Amino acid sequence: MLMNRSDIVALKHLSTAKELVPFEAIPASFKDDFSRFFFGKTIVKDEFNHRFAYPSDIRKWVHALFLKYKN
Amino acid sequence: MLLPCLERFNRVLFDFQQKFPKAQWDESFKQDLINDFAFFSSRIEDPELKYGDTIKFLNDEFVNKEKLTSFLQLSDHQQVLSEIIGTYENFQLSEESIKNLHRNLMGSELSWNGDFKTFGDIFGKRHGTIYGTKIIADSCSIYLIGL
Repeated sequence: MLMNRSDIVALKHLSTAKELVPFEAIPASFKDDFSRFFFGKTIVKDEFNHRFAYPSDIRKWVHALFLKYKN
Repeated sequence: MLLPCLERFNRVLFDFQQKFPKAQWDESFKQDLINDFAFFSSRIEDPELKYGDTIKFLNDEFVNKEKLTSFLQLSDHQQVLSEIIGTYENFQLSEESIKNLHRNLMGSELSWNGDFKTFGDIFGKRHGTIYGTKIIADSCSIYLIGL
């Protein structure tokens, strides 16, 4: 249940995502939240089996995170 | 056209720049200045912010996963002051520089979490004078008290 400044900077960056987001760009501290939110959602795989999330879903997820960890 | 209090700020800043040139600042002074500024200005929005957690967070150490908006504001304030210090020798308040500061602080939608305040926080009292911001949401005016 810990995070650091780099995680917040990464979330801020993700909140304006306009391209497919690789799973590796998700901060490790928020992987569990990410998995829960994205359960059942459509993801994209490339020919190397790398997984990506849609930018609109990522933007919604970041907003949901900020609501969840508001206070 | 700047408000008289902001012109006064620029005059005081100019004197300060002459008296305390950046070349004399050591790294720990700069770091303390940035951390303290980030803490006290973020605490205007979140009075429950703790100094210890703030410093740990600003030094990129791990803190509890909570209050993301407050930590985002801390990070933005730290970034903004680092930029001001980078251009300290030439920095002056102007309509454009104030807009830039505000854009950097509030550019992200994530910084807007929460309702507009109709009356802001009074965040300090020193020598009997109240220092703080009074925000009137309907006129979008900001008054600086005690400058």
